[in-house]
Amino acid sequence: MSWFRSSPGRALLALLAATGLLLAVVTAMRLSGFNPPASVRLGIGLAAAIPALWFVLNYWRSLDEAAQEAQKWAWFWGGSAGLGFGVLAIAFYPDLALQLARPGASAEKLMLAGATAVMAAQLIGFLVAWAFWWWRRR
Amino acid sequence: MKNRLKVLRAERDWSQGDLAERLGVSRQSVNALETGKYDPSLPLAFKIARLFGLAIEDIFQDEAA
Repeated sequence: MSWFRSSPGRALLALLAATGLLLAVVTAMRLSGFNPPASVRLGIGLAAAIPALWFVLNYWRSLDEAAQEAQKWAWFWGGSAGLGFGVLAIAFYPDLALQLARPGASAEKLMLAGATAVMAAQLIGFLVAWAFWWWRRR
Repeated sequence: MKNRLKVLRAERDWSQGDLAERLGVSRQSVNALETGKYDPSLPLAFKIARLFGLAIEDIFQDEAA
């Protein structure tokens, strides 16, 4: 259990908690048939960003300098590489976004699928680089 | 950068966790420091020096020098 108190452990727990919360909100909105206009959705997103920012700031302050260095290195190299890979994949294989979205999806949904795919590629790149940074310094 | 952290820690019979707690960093960071795979910032280097009652250059040796 002590591993979960380490910097990598807390990062994993934070990621799992944030993912769980996001899934819960999205699922609740779908099940209730709640489909607000874009301005309300933007408002909800901004309201959610405030506690998220508070959480991230506290998490960042709790990290020691090596863990902060790992984050910065991983976002620069892994995040950038993942982002570049994602953009190139969508640019050269636009059908990828079509496959990610449901058949007959609107242009808005296709945009969302493409953006999500690029963000996922960036996150994967970050995680790989972050794990590599700590692995090199075992 | 080479350093004597592991020796200094062993002389005091401290575990990596003990040293990490005294420095306010994670055990993983202490391990990275000891193996010379992570160079500390100046504030952390001063903190380490103060903890062991030594000068920074008595703990860290620049391999290029």
